[in-house]
Amino acid sequence: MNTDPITLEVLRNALQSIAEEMGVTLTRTALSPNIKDRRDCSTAIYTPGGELAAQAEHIPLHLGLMPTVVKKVLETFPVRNLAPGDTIMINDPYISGSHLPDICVISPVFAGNRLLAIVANLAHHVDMGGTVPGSMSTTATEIFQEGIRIPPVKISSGGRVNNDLLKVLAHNVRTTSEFYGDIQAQISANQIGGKRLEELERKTGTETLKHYMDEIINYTERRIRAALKNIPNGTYQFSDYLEGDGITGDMIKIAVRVQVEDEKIIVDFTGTSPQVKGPVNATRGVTLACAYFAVKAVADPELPPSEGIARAVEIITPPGTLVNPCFPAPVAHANINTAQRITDIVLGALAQAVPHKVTAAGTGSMSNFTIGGRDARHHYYSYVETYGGGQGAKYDQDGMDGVHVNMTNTLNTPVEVIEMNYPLLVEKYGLIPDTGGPGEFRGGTGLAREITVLENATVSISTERNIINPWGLQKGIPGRCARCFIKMPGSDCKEIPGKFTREVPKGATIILQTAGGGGFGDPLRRDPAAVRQDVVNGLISETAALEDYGVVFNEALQVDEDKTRKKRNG
Amino acid sequence: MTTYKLAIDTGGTFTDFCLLGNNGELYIAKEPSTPDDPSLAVLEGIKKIVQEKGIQPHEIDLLLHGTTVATNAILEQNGASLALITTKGFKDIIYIGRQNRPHLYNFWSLKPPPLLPRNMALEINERILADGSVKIKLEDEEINAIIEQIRETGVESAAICLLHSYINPAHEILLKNALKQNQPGLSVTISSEILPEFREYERTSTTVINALVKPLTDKYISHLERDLNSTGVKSELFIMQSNGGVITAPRARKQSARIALSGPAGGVLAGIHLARSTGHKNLITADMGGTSMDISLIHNGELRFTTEGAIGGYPLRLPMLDIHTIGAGGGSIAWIDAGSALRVGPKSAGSVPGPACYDLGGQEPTVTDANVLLGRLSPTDLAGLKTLKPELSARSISEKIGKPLGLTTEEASEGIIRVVNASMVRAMRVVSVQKGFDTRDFTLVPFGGAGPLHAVELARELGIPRILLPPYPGVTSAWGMLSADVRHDYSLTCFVNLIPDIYAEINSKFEQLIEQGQKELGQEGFTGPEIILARFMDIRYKGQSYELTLSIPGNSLIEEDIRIISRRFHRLHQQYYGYCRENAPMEIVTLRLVATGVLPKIPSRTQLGNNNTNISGTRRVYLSGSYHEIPVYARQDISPGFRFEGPTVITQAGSTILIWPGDHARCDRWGNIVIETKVQ
Repeated sequence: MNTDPITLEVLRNALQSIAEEMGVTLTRTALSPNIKDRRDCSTAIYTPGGELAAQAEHIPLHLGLMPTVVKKVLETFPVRNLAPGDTIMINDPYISGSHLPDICVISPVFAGNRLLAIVANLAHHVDMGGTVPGSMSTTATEIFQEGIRIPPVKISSGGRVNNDLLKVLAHNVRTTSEFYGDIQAQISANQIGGKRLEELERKTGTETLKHYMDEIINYTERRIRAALKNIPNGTYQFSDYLEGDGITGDMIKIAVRVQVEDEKIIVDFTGTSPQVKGPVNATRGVTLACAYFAVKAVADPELPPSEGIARAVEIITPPGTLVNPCFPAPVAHANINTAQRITDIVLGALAQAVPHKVTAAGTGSMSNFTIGGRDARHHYYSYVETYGGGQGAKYDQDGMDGVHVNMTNTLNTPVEVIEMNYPLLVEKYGLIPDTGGPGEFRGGTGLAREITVLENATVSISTERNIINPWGLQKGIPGRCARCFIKMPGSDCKEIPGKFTREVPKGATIILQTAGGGGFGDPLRRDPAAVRQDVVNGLISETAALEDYGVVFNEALQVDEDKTRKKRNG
Repeated sequence: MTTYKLAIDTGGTFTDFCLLGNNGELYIAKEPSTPDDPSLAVLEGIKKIVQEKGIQPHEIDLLLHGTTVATNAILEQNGASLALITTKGFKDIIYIGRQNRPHLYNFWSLKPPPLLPRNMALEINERILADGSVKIKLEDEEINAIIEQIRETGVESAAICLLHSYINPAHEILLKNALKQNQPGLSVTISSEILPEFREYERTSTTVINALVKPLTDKYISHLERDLNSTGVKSELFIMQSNGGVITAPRARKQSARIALSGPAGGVLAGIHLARSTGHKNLITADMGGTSMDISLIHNGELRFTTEGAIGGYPLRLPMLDIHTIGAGGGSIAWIDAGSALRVGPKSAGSVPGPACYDLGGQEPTVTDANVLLGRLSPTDLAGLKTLKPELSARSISEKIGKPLGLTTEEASEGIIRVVNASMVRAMRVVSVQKGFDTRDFTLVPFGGAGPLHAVELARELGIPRILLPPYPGVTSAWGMLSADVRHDYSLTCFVNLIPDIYAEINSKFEQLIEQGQKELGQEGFTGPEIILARFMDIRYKGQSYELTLSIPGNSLIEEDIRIISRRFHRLHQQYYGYCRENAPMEIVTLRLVATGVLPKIPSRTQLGNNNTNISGTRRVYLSGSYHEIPVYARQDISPGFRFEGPTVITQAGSTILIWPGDHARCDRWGNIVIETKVQ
């Protein structure tokens, strides 16, 4: 069949629109805050062979998961065994590539009795059982402690839902009604996707639609290859560390060697530390997502997600390492921390090739904050939220303040919603001055949230960059580290490590301050007017203006140009 | 005596005027806009109309005005100098927003610049909890300290948004009264008045927007009133709001954020007017201009609203017409991307340099160029504005699209149209199919300069069986405004479970809103049957984060009503999302009241054409792979009852419509052209 560039674009629009409609159904009707408020979910359309053709993205972390999960599941459920009305469910990270709270629901779509396509969606449930509320223990040493594992299983056959199976699962999670509501939303999203694909097929015909799904994948491959040509050939190496696995504080090395050869790029993680005891091991799916993210952001940010990316980006992840662990290593926190560090190092390597297309290191963690327990009416609750921080600065632009960077982009939970729904009091929520790394362009500032628990509760924090600052680029200064504190009733504020789980009595206040982004370029070259603006706005102190930026003010807070010049010239 | 109703809509390029006499006579005029002071064009236009029609200014007894003053103040960041007062510990809410970035992969795509500098965000020590109880009382010393700080900053306007004020506004009111007393000249907006709903970022943003645009809007409207008065226009002035109703000038000066997204509202009202007059109650309106397309859906003759609106990237959560806008229009540029797909937009050539055929230096091929090349648009269709140069379209399309893709210039042009249509279809699906509406039950109403040219193809693609082309597609917004009523929205966050025995509690809460609505409309001179009150509830399954809005019977609720409402909610959920959960508990989140003050309506007399059914010429148009010589009619020649078949082109000032082979068209008795499309 011929391919014309016009039908290609018309059908690409049509498929994208269907994936997005699936996403609307999912986020609007789900019950878990992670899905409905923070949109920690993705919806996608695949060829009958399980190759990703279109995806509605809400967070980049799913970029590497969505292409792999369906293919893996088809190994268990070959296409010939699938019938209309079948739906498969899975959350096993060693197959799906994610962590246990992410449940993927997959459904075949038929035209008559022939398989036309596959639709799937992945969503982060609020709880999947395990040792702590929210299923994100910072101290798990085996995946069995992280919650209930679901291998690929049919939750519906020929349209009939397997309620017994759902009951077993619901029985093992803390928030049963949310589980049922979310699963229903996930099934409905696939049904909408299937219905729309059938409508589209009636207009285009089966063969044309299938042909163009393949062509969309080829198209993405052409685009990524064209974009890779703009990166100079060469080999670029970088490494950085995770600050412990939650069990010990030992530094964990992640190393990368990025090799660019014309239209191809190889991202090789050989040299990375072996897998660790604690739950920061990143499955290959997570690692793929990070590498794809960095390459896409640098090469072609508008690139539509599809299988085509994988054809031009080769990723090497030695088995048994932090970036491709072996069963039964725990994995829950890789999404939160390891994913951000893997992305940092790929960007750090690419910074040597194309410094004008990357950012300095950002806040470096999704900074997960979980509080769970029972409220005054003895109902279980889990407050789960991830916090942004500073974006790294760019060669010509400051980093954004208080924002999610790289692998996530979930929304915050409004203070009023937190206080309405949980026995919690938010004491403060704001930007932290002097946390953005100084530079000709400044890194973004970190975020602070202070929460007091109104009932006894279990508190869990998982963040990073408490020890190693987010790096700057080209004489840019690193961003300030993250810090965590706890204030027990009647005692003083005490600093605690970045990975922390414990029971606290009511009245305790927990403070999480996330890291700022690294600066870009020599801070002594920053426009003094911009430095003054930051001082006026309270984002940097006068002391920092003098010491980091060499800017001297007079008493009316105007820049003293002579003194500034002298100070800057040393 | 003859009296007149005059609607004036300020647009980016032209200010449009529609004058309707009580004898039903309609008169249309356009005046170039005067962006530096939009009132100049308004006054100039009125002067001309009065002269040309030979009427007295005082014969205009109703004046309706759509203005972009508030919109531009936000988009161009030139609003009032402003301070924000928040609860201690929370001044950064407005800067953090929802902590998300606007683009997942583009590091350079920033959040919109802050609405006010951070040093103008002030904190005050007070705290109200989620249940409305006071944790930290707002003390006099705190108030006095803030008054002093505000005085030092010398700002014109203050926005106050304290945590949980939607449930207990006492501290906001206390602060407002104290500020007003100490600085009578200061403009003060409190969140519990403008948007008493939970979610602090969205409420703060809405409050700040109001505070930002209020002084400017106040000045514009008060000057306009004064100038109108001096030209002898004695009529009361009504201003178009984002919600499809108008408000009196004094209220627009206070609650200015309500007029910030009023631009496309007139067009939707035109749709409502058509739905009422023609009986086609399900419409999709599509207003396509040079750079963007505004799409809205009318179901059962009723306007549809959203409370999730935004302007310039800032949430503005007042009820507004649900209008979906995309960056596709006549000026959208066609290009080939790195993967060899033909793309159209989002870049636009705008009006300067404009499409290649404008001959103003534009080199890039646009949608308009494709229409010109295919003969759908003739070089003289924009008569009075400019003459188009088809040879420039041909050169640009051939060089930039045709040759690189190995297509003839005609094939490339058809491709450009198909691709831009695909993105318009996608946008039209967002408002229809994605919300559970079947496009086969709808009629398409295209307007704007470019809408009618694409209408038939869009309708066929979506399975829409009928197109309704209003008499004046070039001034639809002003025309639609003629049918506007005064409309006030009131809301109250309440959070109660939807169970039968809550009816009394709901009734008493609605009573508060009703009292407010009746009082305010009464002050504006409306009485008895001129006042219409409609109640709505935002409901969701307990645990969800998004609500659906249901209209509620007009009288006091009884137990049975709650059961009916529950059933209707399940059905609506089913329609929107494909399923419902009949055993799940539901909760009411917000109560809403819409208070309408009905303005007099005058049916416009049918414009009789000169019944010249002769074609005004022919045009060589490329359709489905070959050129056809097809007839052209001038719109002013077409009278009610006239029937014709595609392929045909109809031309009129400011718009051209293409009717395809197999389509049947007729002119109805209101002068609309109705096309029955050949649905594939």
